[in-house]
Amino acid sequence: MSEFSATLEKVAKALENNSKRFEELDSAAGDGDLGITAGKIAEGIRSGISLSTGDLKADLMMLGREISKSAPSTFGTLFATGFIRASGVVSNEYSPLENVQKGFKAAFEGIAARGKASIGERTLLDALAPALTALNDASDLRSSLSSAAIAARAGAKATAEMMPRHGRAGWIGERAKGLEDAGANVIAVVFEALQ
Amino acid sequence: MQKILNIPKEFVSEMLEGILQAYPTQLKAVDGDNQALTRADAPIAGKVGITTGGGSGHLPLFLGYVGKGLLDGVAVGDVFQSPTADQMLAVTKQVNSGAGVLYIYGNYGGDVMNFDLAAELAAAEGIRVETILGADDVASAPKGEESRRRGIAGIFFLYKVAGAAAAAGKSLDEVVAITKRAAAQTRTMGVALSPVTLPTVGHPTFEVKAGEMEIGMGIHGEPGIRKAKLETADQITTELISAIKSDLSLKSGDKVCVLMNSLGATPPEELYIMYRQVKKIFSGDGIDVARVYVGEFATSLEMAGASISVIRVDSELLGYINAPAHTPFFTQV
Repeated sequence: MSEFSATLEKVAKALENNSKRFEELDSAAGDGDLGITAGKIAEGIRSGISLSTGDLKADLMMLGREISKSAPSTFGTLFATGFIRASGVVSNEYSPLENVQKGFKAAFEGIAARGKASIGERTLLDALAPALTALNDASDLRSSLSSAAIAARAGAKATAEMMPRHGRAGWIGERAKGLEDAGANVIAVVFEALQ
Repeated sequence: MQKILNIPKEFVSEMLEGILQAYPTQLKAVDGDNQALTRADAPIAGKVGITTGGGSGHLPLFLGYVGKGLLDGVAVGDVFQSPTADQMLAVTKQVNSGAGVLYIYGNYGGDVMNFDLAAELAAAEGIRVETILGADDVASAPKGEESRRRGIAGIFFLYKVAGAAAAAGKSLDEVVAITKRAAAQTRTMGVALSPVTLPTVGHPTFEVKAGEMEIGMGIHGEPGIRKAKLETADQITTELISAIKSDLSLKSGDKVCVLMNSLGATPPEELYIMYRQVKKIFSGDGIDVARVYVGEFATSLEMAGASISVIRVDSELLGYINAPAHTPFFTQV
């Protein structure tokens, strides 16, 4: 298994291991299915790994398509969109660090556009945005991923003080405050697995 | 509500099996997936492909409009759930003849996300896709926030116009322009008298109390704008038509088509009682009704209730609405 595939396998495993936590957070403010969705995303990632060609661009597209098939919920579709958009910008001509920076930037922009959400609205973007900033501030791949993991976790924690505007949490408003956003937690878990 | 079922979670797959067995010369599944359906003769050479999609539980919406003079394909979701992007992509590839594909579907978050993703994946494969959302439900958001409105029975007029324009050989840009014009002139408002039971749940997931009604309730039980004691047919009809007239700024001399839709349990008899009042109001206002449809067009399983859709037409729109069409669920000669 390539290093890329091995890293993705770690992400899939981490999503499964934390599905209970995602379910608890999502049940308190959302519709409670994010634990199941995380498991389905892990399935999609493994399916993508099994079809890997070793070409980064093609593999990211394949991962996005497999995730969209296995996890067709709103969150799964947004997650898949991240991979598909990253696929559009990575290149063999870039360094691994540049590919990570460009890929996550495109993923962030694609997810924000498709989800029609902005930073500060208590969504996964609130973990992804600080992680992206940390990636861009770093000078080597290893330190960029470890600082991104810290930043994503801090971002997820900060969502507890934000007013939700999207999904079912958007309807219950004030009552969601004090709890971290479940989707932002998924992003934190992903970055912790990547480092 | 008692239901005729085998295994509740096989509700959609068994329904689709039955439909494909009933209409084998008219419909086909793409790559063996019954949730990705197209006309049996798709793709039609040189014609713009029109596709739709959405959750099950609304027949004849959505798959019922796949056929001659209407739509080319449909992605079918589980009850009240979006189909996947991959199913919509499979349909898109099957119906594309090279003239491009138009997506027309209701404005619901899950559908928008999946079908936008499908359009993106199709574009990556060189297929041009345009999208027009059905957002005709006046009750679902106030004037000025039309883009937030849900799509309900009025989408029939969008299908009819787009399907006829595509069948007449119009280009994708032309079909998009005429269908956008139809969407801008279409409004719907409904009333629910009973809740529905999802096959896998087994009991109603929302409430409409006996003896009450909810004006503006959505076709998945989304909250409406007013709950009240059940009123007479004339009172209900007047409220629905007044809201539509005001939102569409209908005036004397306008020409319209009307669609009286049952949400599933309400019989056609009651729709005609309502239409009598529609006609009375429009006649009094000097509004000319050019064509009327009465029956089931967009249902919500066995929900009792009805909706009224109105489209203001000019001669071009009316020509497309009057054009012939033939599907397993809808025929117009």
